[in-house]
Amino acid sequence: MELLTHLPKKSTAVTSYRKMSPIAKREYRNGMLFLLPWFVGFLGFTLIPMLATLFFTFLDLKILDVLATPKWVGLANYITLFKDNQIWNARPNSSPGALWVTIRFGIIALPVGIFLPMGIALLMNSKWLKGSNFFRSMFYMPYIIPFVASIFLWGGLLNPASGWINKGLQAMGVPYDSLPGWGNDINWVYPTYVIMGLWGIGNAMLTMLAGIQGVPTDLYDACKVDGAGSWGTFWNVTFPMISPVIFYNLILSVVGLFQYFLVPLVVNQGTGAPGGASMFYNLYLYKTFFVNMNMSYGSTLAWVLFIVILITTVILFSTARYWVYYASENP
Amino acid sequence: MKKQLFALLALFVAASMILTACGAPTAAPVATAAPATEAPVGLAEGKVVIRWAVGIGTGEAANQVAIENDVVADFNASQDKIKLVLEVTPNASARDTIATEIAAGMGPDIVGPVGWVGSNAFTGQWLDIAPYIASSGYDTTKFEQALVNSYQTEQGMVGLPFAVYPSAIYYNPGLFSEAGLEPLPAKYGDQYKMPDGSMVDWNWDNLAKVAKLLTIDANGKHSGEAGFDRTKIVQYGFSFQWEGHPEYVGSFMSNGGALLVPGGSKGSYAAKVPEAWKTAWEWLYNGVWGDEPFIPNGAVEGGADFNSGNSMSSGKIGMVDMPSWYLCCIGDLVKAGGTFEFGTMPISLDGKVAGRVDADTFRIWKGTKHPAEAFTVLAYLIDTGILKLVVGSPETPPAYGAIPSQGTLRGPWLAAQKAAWPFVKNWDVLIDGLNYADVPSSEAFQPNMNEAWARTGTFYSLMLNTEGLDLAAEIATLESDLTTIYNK
Repeated sequence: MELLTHLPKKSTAVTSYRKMSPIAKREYRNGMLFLLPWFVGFLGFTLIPMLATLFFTFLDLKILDVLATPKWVGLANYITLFKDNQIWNARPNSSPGALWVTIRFGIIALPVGIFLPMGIALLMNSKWLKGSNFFRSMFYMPYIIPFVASIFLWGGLLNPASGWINKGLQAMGVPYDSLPGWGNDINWVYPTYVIMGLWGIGNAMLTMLAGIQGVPTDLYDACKVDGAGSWGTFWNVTFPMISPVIFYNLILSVVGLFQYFLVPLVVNQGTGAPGGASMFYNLYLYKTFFVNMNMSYGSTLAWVLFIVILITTVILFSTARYWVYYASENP
Repeated sequence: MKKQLFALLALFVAASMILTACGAPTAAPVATAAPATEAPVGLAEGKVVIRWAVGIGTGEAANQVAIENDVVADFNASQDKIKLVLEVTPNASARDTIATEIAAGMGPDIVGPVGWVGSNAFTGQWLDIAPYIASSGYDTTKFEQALVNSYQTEQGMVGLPFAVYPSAIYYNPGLFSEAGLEPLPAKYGDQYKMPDGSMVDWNWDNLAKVAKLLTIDANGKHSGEAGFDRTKIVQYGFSFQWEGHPEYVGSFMSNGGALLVPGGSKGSYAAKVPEAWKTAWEWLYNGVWGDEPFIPNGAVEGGADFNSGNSMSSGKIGMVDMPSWYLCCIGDLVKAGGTFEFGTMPISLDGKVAGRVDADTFRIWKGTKHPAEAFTVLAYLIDTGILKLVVGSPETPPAYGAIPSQGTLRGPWLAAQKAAWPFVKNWDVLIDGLNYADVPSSEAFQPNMNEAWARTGTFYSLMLNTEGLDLAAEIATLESDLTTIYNK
């Protein structure tokens, strides 16, 4: 704290511009000048467009209706959205709504995206593993490959007709007519996306590993003294100690889930095929904006998505106190 | 002083960054085309400038652009009053580009070639060319009347036939022979001889009967035969393959119809599936999932065994219903030693033959400042440009793989096809399909066309990929969704 005592108080710094020395004034102006590009960019490319999209939600604005003047429609776009079957439909054996598609995929993808990196991180941390640095590099390496490139790569590998995976399965004796249809098959499309996503687990694995390696060894020593087995050690020491890292990855994964877009766009050309099973909420939003050119409804979808993510994140944060252990808060 | 200089430099860098960020994005370079962002010019060298936008349909490939440039050069050389300028935009961004230009009052004078779905995204923006046809004395009798009629819409006459793709049933004579089946009718109006010797009308019910005989399981039994194992089908009788869209299927089997209830306006638009279309979709669904299947489901048709969706070329499909452009992609069948032949389109539920003609043409933007000159260009493209764009020659293949809309120009196209596919005899069947154009087009306008079209496409994908559908409930959902989409 002593180090900070020489700094002027914040309110003083703001209000005493007139009282500043010429040098201080010049430094202040130069500082603001350096910040100016960011301010301009933030205003021009973030804040104003965001506010504009909020305004659009109350209009009937479509780029293709070029001769029509946008009309003020009040909450009509929100009412349409809350009645839109293409978002909400959850009837079995039917074209699922975009939100339901996202949730269904999340039920499969989230546990895999959290627990698999954790499992790999535990393996990487094992004292019996030889060449752990090599494996860490290998697991992380796919993460540095551009995501779109990896999707194309996986798209080729999982091509039902020419993909190496089906050719390999065939070589192992799987009958030709039993080969998975992968992204073309309503029963295989989500597992296909999850498999593609596995390539991106390197980063989560690394943060988990950092968390595991940050657990104080004296806690493990205490476990040994108490006679705890490996499961007991994991459940009572490792898991609580890395729970902030798990929580961090969970938040990122949930936000990423609601923004899931690129894989279905590339693999299924954004058509929602098969049977609407790949029409994720964010893809529906993108198509509304940039294919159907409906700026108002697209903006409404975007703001509702923002609110849904916000609420979900708040709920997750409110649960954190029950299962996330912050050592610094519990000395 | 140093600090002031530094501040000045910082200001300069910041200003550069802002100017760069705010600069107009550069259009992707496409061959030798004029830049898409070129401002419209009313007059150049004392000539009226007419801008021709390519990209919303076919025409962006480098080899196509070279021919298009050739046509532009020919036109400009023949003119002292009009200067034609080609503007090519990549297909993926063409619609955005044209929409933005139109919104800014700078739309291109002529757009195309473009099909119905592409042009319907701009419904209301196309010029009614009927007055210019009349004033210039343009002869439309050179085209099949059905093709001319197909361009008569609520917005007037919005185009003239240019490049056409009639439909036919492509069938595999080898599989027919193995199943002991007679070849399909080779002339519209002919009946079909069933295996029991009876002569029957060539309609969709009888097509299904033939297709079942062509649907074979691993034990060699056909669909409907005792002991047939529907889980081990190795060959199917029929597929709509890439013509698989509910609006095509409905139109094929009921000779017209539309989902949009006529007479609505924003807020009161409604979708209603015609009863005949429901019957058609049930026919399709039963063909896929019924007790006696004869159409592959989506996973099967998209799978390895059926050439990833190009199922006819796998040699394991007896018949498909496809337009002439499918000649592009049937080569695998022939490479594998198979052949194909054309049969007539079946009679629909109303007792008449219902075909479908995919058609690309040029549209004139309603906001053009030079409609008469634009029509001159349009007429040139359809009468003269077509020679390089569609007809081609043995030395110079055409830009677009279509059939010329004018009967007198079809000779070279036909000669090239006969050379490529010497075993095919029934070329007349394919050409005669032009007399059975879908009027109104099964790609006819619906409000929010792109989304409506995609939604019905999803319904088709659902039918092909989901067993045990409550079809009536799904149709009701589709109607409700479409009504929502129309009124968005």
